[in-house]
Amino acid sequence: MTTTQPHADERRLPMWHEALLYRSRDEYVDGLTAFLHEAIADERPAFVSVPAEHGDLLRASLDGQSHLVRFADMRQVGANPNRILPAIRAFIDEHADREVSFIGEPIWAGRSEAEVAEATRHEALINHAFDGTGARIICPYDVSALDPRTVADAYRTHPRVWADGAWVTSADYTDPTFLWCTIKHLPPVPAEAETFEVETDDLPRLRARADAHADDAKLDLARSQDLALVVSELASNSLNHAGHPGTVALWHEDGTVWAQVTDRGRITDPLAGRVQPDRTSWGGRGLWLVNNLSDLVQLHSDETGTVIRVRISRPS
Amino acid sequence: MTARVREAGRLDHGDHVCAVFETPADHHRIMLDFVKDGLRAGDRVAYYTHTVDPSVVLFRLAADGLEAHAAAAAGQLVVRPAAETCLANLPFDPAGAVASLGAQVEAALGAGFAGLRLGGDMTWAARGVPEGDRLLEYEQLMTEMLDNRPALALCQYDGALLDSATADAAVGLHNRRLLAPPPPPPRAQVEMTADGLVLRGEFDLSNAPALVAAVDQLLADGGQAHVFVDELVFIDGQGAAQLMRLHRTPAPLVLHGAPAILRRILEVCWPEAEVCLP
Repeated sequence: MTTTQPHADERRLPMWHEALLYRSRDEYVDGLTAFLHEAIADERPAFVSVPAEHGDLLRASLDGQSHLVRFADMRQVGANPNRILPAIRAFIDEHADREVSFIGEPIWAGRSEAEVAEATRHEALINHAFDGTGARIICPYDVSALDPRTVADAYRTHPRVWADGAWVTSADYTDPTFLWCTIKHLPPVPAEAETFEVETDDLPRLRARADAHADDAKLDLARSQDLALVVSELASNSLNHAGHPGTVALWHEDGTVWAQVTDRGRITDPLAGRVQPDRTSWGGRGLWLVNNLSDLVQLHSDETGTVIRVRISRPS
Repeated sequence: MTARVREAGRLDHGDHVCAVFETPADHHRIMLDFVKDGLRAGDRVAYYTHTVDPSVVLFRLAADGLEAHAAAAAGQLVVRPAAETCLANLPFDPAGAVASLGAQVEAALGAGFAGLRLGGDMTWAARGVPEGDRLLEYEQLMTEMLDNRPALALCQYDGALLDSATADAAVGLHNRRLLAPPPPPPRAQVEMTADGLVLRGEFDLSNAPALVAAVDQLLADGGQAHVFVDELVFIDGQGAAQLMRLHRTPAPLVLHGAPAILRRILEVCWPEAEVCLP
């Protein structure tokens, strides 16, 4: 092992969460292959979720050992970044007797600003969710292609960073619950949006309006039904948890419907909607459904209230 | 109630119509029919709300099948707060209010509409508006203003808020009276049969207690639960959670004819539960 390879040291941490800032394909493959070889040698279960073409590169570099590693296309798993945390959690739970290794690349060049903001929020929450599990998590960032602000955020969400050929402790590392509260990418609701409050008796009407927007956006039946369920859950959450009607905004473009629900309640659990609800528990199912049925979920909650914006699109 | 008030059929220009509603749902159904008829007749419809925001009125009308947003964009439907008309200048000034409504008739004609239909939630009259007791004067002036003009007006009164003497007097100043259309059939039905529980329609927060009660009863009865959901149109996560209370060891829940929406919720929230889906 040369000094340019990560994990030459054997620090034991409650968990590792590191960013690999790479500038070339070789740096990507060398760094991550070393991480996987180490996991294989230590018999740690390994899970790789990166864009499929990157997964192919890593598979080819594993010298016939790729069957020991689980691969999943991050474009699927992390299409909605809020679904990545439960995917990692499921892998950890599946291997309860072992500490696991995970490579996650939720941010790639070309992702929309809204998606990058949510993927960054997810990166912050990794530190909160898996503290104490002993998981070793490394997240590659393509610094040659990503916006410098995105790379700067990697220093805020990862305690340790591989940059310019060396590991450094990030001086910018930031408390994950602080980032969860403060990352905000919500452009104004467009003027053409339909906006109204939803009382309990209006829930069927809300679904009727969601159906109308889905028709206008030419969503298929399955996505239309998902949309109706998602908006119904969000408006019900306001009534149940905030204790008053939420304000709903609906708007669409071809192939996509947006819905936003605002209320004066506050969500305090950063993992709300990112933990598979216990089968016997009553609460927590609304946001879990919302995260699993939407293409993007932007949740922002502070002392002034809660805003949840969702995007539901026709499958491409 | 005076004898000259007729129960309404179709409304005509010149009519000054009154409707006393008992529930918000009645209020909405009367307004829905009023707006629908007006748009169909080619009149401009201007509705003045008091307890409900105009955006909510538009939303409800649209959800109930009217092209409300298109009509609003075209200027045929105008939904505004009463604060902008009758209550624009306080203390309440009946003559001024009626004069400004009269000017709106001319504006509607000028914009190319066949006439103007004015609708209003008169709840403010019972809510301590300064000089609000000049209501009867206002209603009398409205009747005179509408006479021989291509316009009509609907005044909706909350029966729970008005004392009966004022209500009778106010109704008496209108030439017609609208009654609330019959309520639509319930959106959801819960039926316990010898074979099991039958659920029809839409289940959400608005009717959750009926579902909870039915599930409680099935649990009390014991044995394997059979639920027939082939006519289920919608259920939310909480409703599905209620059904999952019936999924027990060693008797899994049997869901007959589960629609896509319910299968979707089960797949997302209970991926490992082996519910019988014949």
